[in-house]
Amino acid sequence: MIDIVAITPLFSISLILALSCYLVLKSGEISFGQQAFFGAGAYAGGILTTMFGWQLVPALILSAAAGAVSAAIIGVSLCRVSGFRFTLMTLVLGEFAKEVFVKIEWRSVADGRAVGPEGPLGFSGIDYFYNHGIQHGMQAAIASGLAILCVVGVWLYGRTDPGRRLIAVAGDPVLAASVAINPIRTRLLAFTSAGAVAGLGGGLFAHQATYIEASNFSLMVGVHAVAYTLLGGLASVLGPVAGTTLDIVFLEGLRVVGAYRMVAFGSLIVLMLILWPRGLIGTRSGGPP
Amino acid sequence: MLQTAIEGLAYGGLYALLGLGFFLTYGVLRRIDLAYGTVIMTSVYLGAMIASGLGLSWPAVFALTLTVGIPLSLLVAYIAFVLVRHDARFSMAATLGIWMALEELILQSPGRGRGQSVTNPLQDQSLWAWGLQIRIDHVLILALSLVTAVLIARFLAMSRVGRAIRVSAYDPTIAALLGISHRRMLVIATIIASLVGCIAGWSFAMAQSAIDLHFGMWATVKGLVILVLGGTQSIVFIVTAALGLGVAERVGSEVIGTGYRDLVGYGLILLLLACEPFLRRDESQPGDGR
Repeated sequence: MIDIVAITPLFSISLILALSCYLVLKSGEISFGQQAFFGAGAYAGGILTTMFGWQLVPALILSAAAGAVSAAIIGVSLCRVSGFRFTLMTLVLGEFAKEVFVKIEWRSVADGRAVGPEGPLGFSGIDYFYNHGIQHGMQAAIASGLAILCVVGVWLYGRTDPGRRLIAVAGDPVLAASVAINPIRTRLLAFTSAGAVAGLGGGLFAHQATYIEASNFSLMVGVHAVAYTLLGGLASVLGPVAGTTLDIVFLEGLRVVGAYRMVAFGSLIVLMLILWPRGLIGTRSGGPP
Repeated sequence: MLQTAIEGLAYGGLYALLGLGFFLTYGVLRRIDLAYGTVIMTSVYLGAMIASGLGLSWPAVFALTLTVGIPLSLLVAYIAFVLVRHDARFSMAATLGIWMALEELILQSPGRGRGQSVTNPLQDQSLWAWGLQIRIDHVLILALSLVTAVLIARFLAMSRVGRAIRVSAYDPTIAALLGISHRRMLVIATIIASLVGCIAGWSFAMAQSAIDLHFGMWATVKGLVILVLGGTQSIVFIVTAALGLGVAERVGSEVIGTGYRDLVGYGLILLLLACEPFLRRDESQPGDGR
């Protein structure tokens, strides 16, 4: 059987990142760069708790803010392009961000020992959970709580005005513009929100992992998050949940296919796209985004 | 400085080959194949592994690479672009799935994803000209890529099949009316793209005397970047962009230090991409270019 306490944080973090991709996919674009905002959140959160002795909650809020701000900056240009160029730009962004993370070096002394990111050596000693006596069960509860918060938040986003405008813009930007919806602003808002979600996930990841380095935020991380969403479907926020569950719980947790997990996962995506392109949680009428 | 620039030209030649592969798949066929680099890596990797297992020499590596690479590319193209046919973005996502599966298969292969050595017959052989040391294999790579580029350009512009491919990519219905088999043209173009990719992968492995898992993603990213810098209109632009990037990367890393090469490289490309939508005023509405 699976160890629920052990797998919940991994599941929650993967789900939060998938939700970030889901928001971007809802605007009709594929982003392979959400791991950049995930990383920004991770470094921001880690620095705040280890180097400045912040509490977890404000640090996580700042993680989300770091993700949102970086997404908003690149979004100003990114939300003006679409299709292949959008995807490519996010891909370059992801690789660029990884190179930036390698260069982050900022050491200081806290509680009598040197802390902070050490450039290529990574950022170790983010042991907030350990220092505050937060056990594994509690960590799992925090992680799943944040994941549920994100699911509800993204669900609400789709239910309110900005979400509806986003669907309109994804469907037909020209038509949306003719009914006084600003396509760029609508997409920018969604992209910034997606950045905030990814940043929050990153903050959680940094504290869960206690050690982060640039290779934690490689292209494959972003690609996986997109794959979860496509696997699950875009019809509702349950899509990313289903996709993440399939990979983390069945392939990783139960080790159904042993070491060939990625082969199974990759083939599964291809098979789904051939046989059931709307994903596990599909719509009855609506086609692809 | 000049020395580094010459080395950069050899890398530029490799980039040009990768860019040409993407030019054929995206520029001509309008297909986004993110598994391109991984398929090349898999072919060269398996080629090198089999050749070293059987004790064969370097020409056999190339033959084996092609034997694996061309059928594999056709299979990937069939799965991702024929079986998955709903949406271009879905096909792109399918190539991602293939990419993940192939990389893992290489990790689980007897080679365990470790670097496979490839013997380089021209290792340490250099020319000396005007006080500069020029590696012969670098010269060959550059020549090979330029010849390939000219051949592909000639092929697409002049030959019957090349023109048929362009018609077929432009509009399958018109192609059918002209008696051109759309499917056959796609197969031929895929084979050529695969061939170019295999040449690139093999010559890279020779120049480095090894091939490893990282080559796949690296090749895909570089190829896409060249495609963006060079555009999809002309092979001359692709080759120019590739050579320019190769030289700029090498010279740049000498000026600012190797550690910052990728940071500066990706940063500049990102900046270029980010400025572009503000420069073309007339068609900057989102929704086009799909």
